Amino acid sequence: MLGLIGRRLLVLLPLLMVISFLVFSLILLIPGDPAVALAGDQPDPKRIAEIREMLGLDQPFFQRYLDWLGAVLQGDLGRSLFTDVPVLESLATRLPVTLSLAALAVVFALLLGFAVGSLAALRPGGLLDRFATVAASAGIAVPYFWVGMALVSVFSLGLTWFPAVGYTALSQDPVGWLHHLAIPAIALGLAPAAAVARQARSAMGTVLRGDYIRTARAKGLGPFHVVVKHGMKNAAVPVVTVLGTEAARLIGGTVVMEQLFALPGIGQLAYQAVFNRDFPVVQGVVMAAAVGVLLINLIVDVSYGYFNPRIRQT
Amino acid sequence: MTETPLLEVSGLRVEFATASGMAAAVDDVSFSVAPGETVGLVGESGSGKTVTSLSIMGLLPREAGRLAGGSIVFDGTDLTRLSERRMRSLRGSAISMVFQEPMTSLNPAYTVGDQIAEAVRRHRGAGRRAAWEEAVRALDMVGIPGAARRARQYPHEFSGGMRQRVMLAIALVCKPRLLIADEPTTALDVTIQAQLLDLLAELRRELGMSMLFVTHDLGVVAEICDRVVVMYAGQVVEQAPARAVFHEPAHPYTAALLAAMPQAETEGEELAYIPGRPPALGAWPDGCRFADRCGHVAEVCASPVSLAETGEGRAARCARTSELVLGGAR
Repeated sequence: MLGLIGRRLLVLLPLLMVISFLVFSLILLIPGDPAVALAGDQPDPKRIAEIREMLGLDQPFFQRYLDWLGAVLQGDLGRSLFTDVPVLESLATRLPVTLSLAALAVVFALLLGFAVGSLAALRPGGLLDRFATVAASAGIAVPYFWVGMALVSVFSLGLTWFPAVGYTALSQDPVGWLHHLAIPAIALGLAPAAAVARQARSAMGTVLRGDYIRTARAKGLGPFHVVVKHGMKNAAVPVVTVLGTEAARLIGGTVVMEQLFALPGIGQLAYQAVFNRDFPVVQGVVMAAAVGVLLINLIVDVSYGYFNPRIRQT
Repeated sequence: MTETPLLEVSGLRVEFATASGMAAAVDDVSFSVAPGETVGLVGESGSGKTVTSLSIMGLLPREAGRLAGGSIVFDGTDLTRLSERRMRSLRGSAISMVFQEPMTSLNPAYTVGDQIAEAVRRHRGAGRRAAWEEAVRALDMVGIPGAARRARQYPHEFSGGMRQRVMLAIALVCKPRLLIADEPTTALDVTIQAQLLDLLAELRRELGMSMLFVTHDLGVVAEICDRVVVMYAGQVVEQAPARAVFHEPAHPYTAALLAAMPQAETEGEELAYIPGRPPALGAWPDGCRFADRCGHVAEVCASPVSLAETGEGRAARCARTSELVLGGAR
């Protein structure tokens, strides 16, 4: 198992290099010049040139990339062009918020999706199965920000059970943390839950018809034990695969959700940075998100080894 | 037979949902298994032998199969009237089953030791460690070398024959009184087949259990069964002591099966076979179901035939059995 993790980590290194280059090249794609933006309302060309020189924007592209990469490897992602706060520091304060939101959404998607999908698979064509199929299609089709707004208007503004906006750190107040994040996490996790439910339904359906399920029943095991122990671990591989893709996609969703719910996460940071042409911050955020996606894939890959002992040895 | 049977199946009827409504896959099946006895349940695919054994286990596929009549009395209790809960406590402890497909019958995600120990914990309430030790002993009992080490391995690390031994260990670890073996050797190489049959016979003796051995292979029956129940198209067509069946079958179907067994001496000859195919589920005639393929068919065969005694401990479902002289095994 450790060997598997080690091999997967090694594969990540060249990938990270490629990503870093792409991330840095993003500057070329974003319209606008930060020097112009920084120079104020009535910029005179001399001032702009000064700023360009200060930021190193007058250097050739590859020179700038190598400088940046060298700094990144030493843990220096640069400073914000506007606030002068080190990018790493902003990321460090904001990452827990985004991670909390994403993790809660993933957990919600997994629990709800796997439970509904498995229950539906128990009686194919049954009432729950048909309901779940329709609900899953609807869940995938509805945009998450709309779900978020709908939930807020019902549960926050109408019933006032949940706060509409804001964030409390987990370390300060775990209950308040969950209270603030519940609605955005559910809104964000609903579509992944639907995708997971579909996959779980089909994977469980196949697994439960398997010969080893009959063996488990022939041992005298009860239905709960049969489904949870003998079914789920075997159905998990396709489900986790879908969950991994959904989790990666959900990182993008956090940007919108953090705006909508005034959560001080990196999504919000990215949003502001893009509008300010604050390149070091944009690069830092995109790099962090890319590393996040790679880590999700790593976790998914390693989980295959846990669920399927044959993978561990190859 | 004066002994009270351990298992007595009478008038069993199992229906399956087909495109044209419910059809009986098993119809009026009756037979018994005495304590310590090995009974062979013989028939072609689709004759209802697996459906019969799954009914005894209470493991008929829920969507399709339905117990429509008859009783299955095990040790004085009618299993068809038991609640699912009480049935579960018998499954794997008093009645066990091994299946045809050793390659897919074990869960690939857990070690074999875990899969054996699970049965012990379920039925004996044993702790983790005690159950594991019991599992290792069971692996040793079914002749797996290095049982303690092998218990920690996964099914994919075992060959087909070894996996079937593991299945046997799962079935036998709680020392059942009845083992149902559903074509346990069909998927295996011939040499492995013989080893496993020997092992089965030996374990049956050692544990003093009864065995219902489901097979389509009469050669296997001759090797380990005391009595034979022959099924055709969902019905029992003949039952008799194993030796009697081989020497003087009382039903033309049994005789045809015996004639179809390939023999080394008949090299060069064309292999014998039974012409035609069994009637499809739901399309069974009112009269004798074998009539279409029978070489001895007469007018009486068009009316329903019941299973009638033909001698000491023998019965056949053939209207003409008393007039026919049928050949036994060559």
